[in-house]
Amino acid sequence: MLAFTIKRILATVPTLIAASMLIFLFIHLIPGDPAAILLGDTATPEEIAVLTKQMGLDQPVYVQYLKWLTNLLQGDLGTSIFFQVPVLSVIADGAETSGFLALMTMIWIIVLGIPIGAIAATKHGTWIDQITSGAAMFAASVPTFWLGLYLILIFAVGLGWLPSSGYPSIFEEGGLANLRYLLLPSLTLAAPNAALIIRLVRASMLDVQREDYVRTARSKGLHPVRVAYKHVFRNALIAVAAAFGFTFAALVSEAVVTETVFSLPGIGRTVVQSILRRDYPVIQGVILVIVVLYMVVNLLVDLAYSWLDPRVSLK
Amino acid sequence: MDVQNLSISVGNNPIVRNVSFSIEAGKTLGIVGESGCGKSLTSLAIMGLLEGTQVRLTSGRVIFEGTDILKVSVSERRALLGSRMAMIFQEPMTSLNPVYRIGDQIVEMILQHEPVGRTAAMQRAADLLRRVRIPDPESRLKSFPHQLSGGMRQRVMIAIALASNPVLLIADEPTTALDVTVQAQILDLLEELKTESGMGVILISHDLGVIAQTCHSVAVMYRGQIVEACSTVELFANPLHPYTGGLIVSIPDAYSNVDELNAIPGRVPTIDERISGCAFHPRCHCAKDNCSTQAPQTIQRADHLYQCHYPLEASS
Amino acid sequence: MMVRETPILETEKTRFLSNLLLPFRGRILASIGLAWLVLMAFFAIFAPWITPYDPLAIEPVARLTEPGATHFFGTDHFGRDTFSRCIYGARMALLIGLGTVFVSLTVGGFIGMVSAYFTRIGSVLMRVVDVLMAFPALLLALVLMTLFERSVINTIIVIGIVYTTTTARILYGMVLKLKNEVFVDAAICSGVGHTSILLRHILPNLISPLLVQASFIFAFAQLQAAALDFLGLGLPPEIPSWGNMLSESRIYVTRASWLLIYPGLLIILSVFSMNLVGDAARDSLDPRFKDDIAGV
Repeated sequence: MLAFTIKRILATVPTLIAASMLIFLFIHLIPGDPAAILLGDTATPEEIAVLTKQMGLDQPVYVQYLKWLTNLLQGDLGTSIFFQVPVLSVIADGAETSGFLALMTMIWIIVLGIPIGAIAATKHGTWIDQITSGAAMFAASVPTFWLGLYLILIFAVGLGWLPSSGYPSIFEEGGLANLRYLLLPSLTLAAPNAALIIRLVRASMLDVQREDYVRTARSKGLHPVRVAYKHVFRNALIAVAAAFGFTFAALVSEAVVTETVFSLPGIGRTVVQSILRRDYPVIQGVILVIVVLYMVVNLLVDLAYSWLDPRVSLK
Repeated sequence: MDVQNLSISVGNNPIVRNVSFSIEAGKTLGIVGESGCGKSLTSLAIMGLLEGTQVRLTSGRVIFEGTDILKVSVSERRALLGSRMAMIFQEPMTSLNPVYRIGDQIVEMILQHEPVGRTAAMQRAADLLRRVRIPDPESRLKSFPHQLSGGMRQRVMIAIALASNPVLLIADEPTTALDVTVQAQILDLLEELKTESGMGVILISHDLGVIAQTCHSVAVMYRGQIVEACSTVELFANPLHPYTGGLIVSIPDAYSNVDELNAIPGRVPTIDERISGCAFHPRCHCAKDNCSTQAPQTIQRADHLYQCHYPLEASS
Repeated sequence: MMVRETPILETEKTRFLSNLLLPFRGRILASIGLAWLVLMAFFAIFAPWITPYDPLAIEPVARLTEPGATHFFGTDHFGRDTFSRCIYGARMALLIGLGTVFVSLTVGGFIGMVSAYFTRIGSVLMRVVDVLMAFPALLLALVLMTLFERSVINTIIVIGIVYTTTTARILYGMVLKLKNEVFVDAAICSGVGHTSILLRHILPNLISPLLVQASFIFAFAQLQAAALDFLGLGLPPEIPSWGNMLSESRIYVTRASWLLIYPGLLIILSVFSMNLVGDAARDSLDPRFKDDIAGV
């Protein structure tokens, strides 16, 4: 298990290096002089020259990359042009909101997606199955931002049950009750992803149901519920675990939109605002953090996978 | 156990028609036929493993220990499965759940049918593995299926089937997926276990050689019907149905100089082809005009049952 | 696709059509979806003849008019007719969808096929694809959009790039499977060249799975484009796309809910229809390729 883990971590290093190069080169892909772009329209030639020198933009690209990488490894992601503070602290500011949003969304996805998918599979071919699969596909077809706006219209504006936007930290006044600000956003974010998990759980359970070992289990005289839970569901979970990495990617994309709709002070909204403000160091930093997170999630998924399926660790 | 007039169909296509046979304790009944003739479906129907598929039982009775088990409630039926009757399957490679240890899969069967603790059940599982001749059973209990060979897995399947001392064991092509040397070992093992426990065995196979080695009596199936049934000795000495004759002749004989395999011409018709008269007539070398129009009745001659207008005579 | 016996008299053309419609037999919801898509395509093509108003015409007196006889779907904050803008929006949806499918299938298809067939170049190309796939889809699109100006063609290219990686990965897997099939060995043995094997022996087997994948890409592209529009990083704001309409009217929705409902429903119904069609088509696919398709 340990050897597998180490091997798996080492395998991500080349991809990580390539991704970091891509993120670094990104600023050089922008048409025009990076220093001029960074300083904006009002900059004087002198200021541009100073920044060029300061950023080492007059040096060869590979020297610049190595310098950027060295800084990176020391935890220095650069300085935000707009805020004039380190990029790392900009990211840290959004981390609480995005973290809790992700956590609550994951809870929704698991609590809704897995049982509904399992029920649909055990009721295969009945109207329950048809309605759930149809509804799940419909939910996966709704644009995230539209669902968010609609929920605001109903629950915040219409009924007035929940706040429509913003999120005060749980460390401020209100404490844990502040999490109610994240209720609508997390539901918005969970809907399309839970829908995908429902369809996935259903499909893989139907696949497993056809396996010979399920017939063996039934020939043992086991109760159908036990067969469904211990034999079918347990094996179907392997395929579902593999898909969670994919879900994370979808979640990040949709979180960007959701945080914008609900004006949440999270990392996703920071990305959008930085893009609109052309605050390139922040864009670079956030993207890098997200890519690293994505790889960590994929690593965890692989480890979960080898834990769920004893055949994997041998390979 | 007594199976009477069992018929099975998929949609409107009858696949198994009026199959009847019986099996006594301590005896082995062989069911032989080409793939697709309905022999596996028959066994699944007896076990009640067809629920949830498009396959339906249309008629028949299965009398087991005095009751028609096709009529009892689902839960009573389940209580029989595993405890009184058990089944082993063709594919040992895929018939064990890959994510659980061997021990847990045997224990699951024991705990389902007996009020014993987990430790005691695990002890029983080790004994069972010893009974099916698996070396070092205590450590094997902790193995996962993928760590065992095909023959070993089939032994584990047999151990699971024997866990609650069933009186009837259905073995559906238990050796087909295995190497020839392993095949013989598994068949010997089944034979020994049967003698030890006195259970009845239904052995399903497409291989007459396997049947000849192990069975007391044989039922030959073709296109969902039993075309001939009698004792194994009688069948080989005196086959009456031309299909049986063809099957026997097509076994390659190690002592004669084989230049050519004696195959039965043609192929098994698919289930949705309708054939009038005797189902075998298109492939039969003794077929006459009325074979294609009139279905033969089951005829009994001493203890020998057959369905044919023009049976082969004792001379062959 | 399923092989059926067909009478000899039937022409190639009708057989092709009936084969294409085969997945919809007995599937009511998917058939309705297909009909909806045909209707949308009709609206998109004949928009100028169908719309009662110019989608760009501003009519300040009629600001935020409720839906009624003069304006079916009401008007927006400039007094522009929502119904007419919705019909023109179908045009943009069709354009973005087809454009994305074209870019991702041609570029991604080429990369995938070449990588699977010529393994040495393939290992490098697929590494690049892997790296690009390490970026979540919308994020990649957002970052790419900062490099370009907002325009229809750039939106298509950016969303196309995102799905190029998925398509390349899927095709790579499918070609690898086919490469080991006997008919490819047979073709190699009879001295057929690489290009010919790829184009005449492998590609024809992949047409159906590619069409299924295309339907899902079409659906995903709608959602991505709408999200980009909403964030103000997609199509130029003056273009009446469903996403832009929602983005602009966002602050008026409490007063004028129709501005949220109509364009939103159009997006949802179109994406849902496309997913239903893709789902039905996937079910009639060769089972070997079913699991390769990345869809809903």
